[in-house]
Amino acid sequence: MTSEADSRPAVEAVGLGKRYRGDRWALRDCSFTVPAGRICGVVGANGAGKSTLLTLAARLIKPTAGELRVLGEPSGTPELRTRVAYVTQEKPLYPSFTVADTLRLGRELNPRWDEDVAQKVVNLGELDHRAKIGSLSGGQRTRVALAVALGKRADLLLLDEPMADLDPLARHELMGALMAEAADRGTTILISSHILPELDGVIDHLLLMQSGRIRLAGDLEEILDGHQLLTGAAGAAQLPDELAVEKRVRGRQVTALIRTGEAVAGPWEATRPSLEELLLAYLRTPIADRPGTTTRTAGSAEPDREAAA
Amino acid sequence: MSTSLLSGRAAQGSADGPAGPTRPARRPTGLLWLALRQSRSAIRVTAALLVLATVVLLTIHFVVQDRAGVMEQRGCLDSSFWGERQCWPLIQRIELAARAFTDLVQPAVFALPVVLGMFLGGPLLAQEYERGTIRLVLAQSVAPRRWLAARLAVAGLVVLPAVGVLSLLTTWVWWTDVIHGPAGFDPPFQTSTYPALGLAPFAWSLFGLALGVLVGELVRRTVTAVLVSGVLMVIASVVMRLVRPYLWPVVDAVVPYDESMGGFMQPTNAWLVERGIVLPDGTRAPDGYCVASYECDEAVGAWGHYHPVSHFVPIQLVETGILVVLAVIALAVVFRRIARASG
Repeated sequence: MTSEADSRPAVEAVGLGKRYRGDRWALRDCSFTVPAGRICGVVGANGAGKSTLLTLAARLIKPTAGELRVLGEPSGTPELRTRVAYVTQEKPLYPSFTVADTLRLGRELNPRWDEDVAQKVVNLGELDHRAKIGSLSGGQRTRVALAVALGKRADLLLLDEPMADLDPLARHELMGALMAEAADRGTTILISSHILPELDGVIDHLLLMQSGRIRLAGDLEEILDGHQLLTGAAGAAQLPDELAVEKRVRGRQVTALIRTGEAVAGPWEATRPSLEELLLAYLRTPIADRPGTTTRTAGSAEPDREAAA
Repeated sequence: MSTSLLSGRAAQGSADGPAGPTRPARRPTGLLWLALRQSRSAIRVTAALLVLATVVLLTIHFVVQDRAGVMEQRGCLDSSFWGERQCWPLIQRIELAARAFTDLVQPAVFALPVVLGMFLGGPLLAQEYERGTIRLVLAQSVAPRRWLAARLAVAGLVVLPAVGVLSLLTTWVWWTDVIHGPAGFDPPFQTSTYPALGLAPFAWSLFGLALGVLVGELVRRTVTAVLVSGVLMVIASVVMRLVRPYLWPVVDAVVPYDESMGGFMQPTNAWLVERGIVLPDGTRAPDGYCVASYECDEAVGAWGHYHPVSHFVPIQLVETGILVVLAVIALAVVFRRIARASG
């Protein structure tokens, strides 16, 4: 990649919306930026719009509203075909093809194909190249699908729930392969997941989605730095409610996640939240449940930190 | 071959990355390889069926020719000797062979386009959508239109020539062993004969494939696509059967009324479309007018509209033209939709 391409964001959305047939907005008013070279976690509950967002970025569907730029190009540009790889949630492969056939499909249809990367991913799973895809387990199929995606040597890799049916060992190993790919080639990876632990230590950028909207977007460290987990005795002091993402009372103890990096006055014990604590707090509190905030301000209250940086 | 299918992208790709492993020359590559791989079972089934049909047709041909030769030796060719003891078994054998042709081969060739539409055309895209594998293809570096073009071209170029060969063989056996055979009677315009001869199997197979692909693109479920394609093909056959007499101008003939003949008689192997009698005042009454009428006694003539055998080829050409146009329209719709799905 050239330095010019490096400076351009990998994915850039402005007011992006997608409505499927039947008036249901799967995605609405999404604005965010994912800088190039990041491993970005796309997190949200089922139906939050994660898959729709990835499918839009993979240009398999067209946005209903707003603008989406991928690798600096409008998302409709045919030239992006070679530069974006996509593994859908279902990891579709031809069941009558062998593993070797499937790798050959990747080789024949992609001019930038890297046979070594693809072979490595398949061989680490000790797969028989002559085995039919239809005879493989779900996890083995996932491995082959990821091998085809990685072999494409794309600049942007879109992975929708890639690890769901892998055993912990394979998950760890494939995550390692993904991170190595990102580190070696500067590939940007968007990875959606609702298995929160699998993202910890992997992602360095976050898109938190809720009900088709972006709830939180930005550099992971900055987001974590911008939040505090407060613990204290119930009734001891007033919480800054307007900053609280979530407040939980357990007996006489109150735990709250608040959205500020500044020290808070009061008898609170403040810690930096872990990724999981942060995500769970947000996921447990749908936007509509938060008193005194509307969906719009929730979406825009958290400015894109990367863009500001 | 691969470079032409992958267009300029292959060249562009090799500029900024190492090329794939070197492959032996003259083996299919790129989209052509994928289309051949995806059509593998269709190719095998087509080859097997073509061999089977060839064996059956050649068997019929040689049985008829062999028996006809024996009949000629024994002086049985003239139908007045057919009752003789030495002729009867021979003519029976020939009749059996001719019946195998008219009752087995012809209906099979007649049904072939329906079967192709159902089991090759229908699933071609429906299965891709149902299994989600179209997204696998769309996620690669090739334009969806190019993939579809390769896929359709391979399927068509495998099946249609096979249908052509089959049709040629069928027509040849019909010509030499049935209609010109010693015991054959099988007028070409019959409902089950016409679609098995000449261009018809080819044109209908092309149409069936295109229709099936379109149905698959629209319904996106394999079983539904198979059933809907079958129903639509049957409807299309019935409609074409009704329209067929009007694809070419009929011959209009009036003959003197002959009570013993019971009305107008068309020439041998011609297709009688409509007939009736001519009344004394010169007006034409339709067939059946006379059943309960004394007027027929005064009929001065019988009229008929018919297609002589010489109309067989022009009618098939017009019908082929219609089917080709419909197939092109169906495929154009499919290509438009595929392109719209993802730029």
